[in-house]
Amino acid sequence: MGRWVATIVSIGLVGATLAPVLRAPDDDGFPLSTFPMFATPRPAQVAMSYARGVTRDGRVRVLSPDHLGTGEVLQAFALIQRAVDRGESARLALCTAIAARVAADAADAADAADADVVEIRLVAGMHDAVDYLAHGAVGREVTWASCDVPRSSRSR
Amino acid sequence: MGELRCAAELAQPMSRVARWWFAPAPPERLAALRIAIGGFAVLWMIARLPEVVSVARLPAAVFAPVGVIRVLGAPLPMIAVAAIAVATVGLLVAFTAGLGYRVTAPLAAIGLLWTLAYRSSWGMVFHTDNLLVLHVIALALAPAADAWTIRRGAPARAAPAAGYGWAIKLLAAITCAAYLLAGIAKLRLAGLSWLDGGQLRNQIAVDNLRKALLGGTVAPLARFLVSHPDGLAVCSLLTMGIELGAPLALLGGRFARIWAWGAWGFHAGVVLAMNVWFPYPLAGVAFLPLIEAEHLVGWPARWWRSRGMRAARAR
Repeated sequence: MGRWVATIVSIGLVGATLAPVLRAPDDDGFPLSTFPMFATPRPAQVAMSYARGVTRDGRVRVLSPDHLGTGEVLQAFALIQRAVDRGESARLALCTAIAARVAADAADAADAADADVVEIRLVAGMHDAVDYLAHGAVGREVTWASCDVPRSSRSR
Repeated sequence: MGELRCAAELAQPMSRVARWWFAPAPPERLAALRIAIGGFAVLWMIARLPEVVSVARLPAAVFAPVGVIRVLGAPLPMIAVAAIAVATVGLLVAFTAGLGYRVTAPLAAIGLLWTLAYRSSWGMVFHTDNLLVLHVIALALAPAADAWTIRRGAPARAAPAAGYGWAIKLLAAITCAAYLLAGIAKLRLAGLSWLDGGQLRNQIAVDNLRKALLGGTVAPLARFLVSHPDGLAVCSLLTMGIELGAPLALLGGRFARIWAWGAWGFHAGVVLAMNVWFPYPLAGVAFLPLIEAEHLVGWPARWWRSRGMRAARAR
């Protein structure tokens, strides 16, 4: 390989890596990124949506990202926010899909952590993140959608 | 006469930059980077396979293509996603071994770019993958298989006219550019207020709140740091110093080593505060272009040889 080719490859790749600086900082891409993670100013007050499992005796369970069809927390977060933004039918569709995965888990293993979950709720919560972590203070919660976990395929 | 002097004055720093960029390096150093980065890519792809297949089953409504995936109007069938991912693992193995490099290396880079961009096309861009993909692309365009390959009995290749040092500098420059961009993004989005520690406290709190509500694991130091935010201003300053100071690592030597340890420490801190893992830098692979990587990567082979020699002497 000659020096000219090496120079073109070098300038091209370093230039491409740095090029996102010319875009809006929150205009992310892959693999050429502005790397905006943890850069956007955040208030401690957070409004976000998430899914909850409710047991027969009314206890509330945190569900795992696997129930959303992904192993990643942030991808689960994005999936829920997107469904919530799309309206009632999308919320219900997501709720039903989660319920089906919970039912499948329970059918696979009767001692699964979510085996006693009978209802799924998509919830909008408003929390103070600092208070929640430092003092365990839970904010306000409102239910967007709820659906039953299908019982026919569930182990009891 | 004046114009000539002006051109000569301009050419001087350019030739100094060129001398630095093209400073000679042994082919083993670039080969060591191929093995380390390629080996990491193989393991990373294998570890991500179940997730790649799992997101391919998500409804088309949540498909949000990024990068090269924008050429698709709709998600691919799951079997196609899985086949590309598995083929990419095979190509990356050949890439790492230096087998058929001129063909397998570009194909491996394309496969890795495609598969990881597909993974990021469901509403969440995974910043853990960017640097790995850029490094594999850079290696695929470099003469990185002129040493330490498994091509037994193949005739030794003549060294390329441009040498090997430029490709190592390129990998190091890409690492530094990524960190520099992260620092610039903080300044552009939050300004100097990012430095007072309050922003970092909120980032830690919000990120861990999401984990708590979405079934993830809260980071071990999160509750402590949020309750005792006094030291977070120092952490903010250090973070910004490491990110904006990344280009200094290109000076090499002690600068590069200090920066690499600082950046590694920053990632370890992110794990403790947010439980956010960047395995590529945490494994140290992202920083290998900044050191004489052949000593570290070649160590297992040297140990194996010396063990054999000791055994032969004992006999």
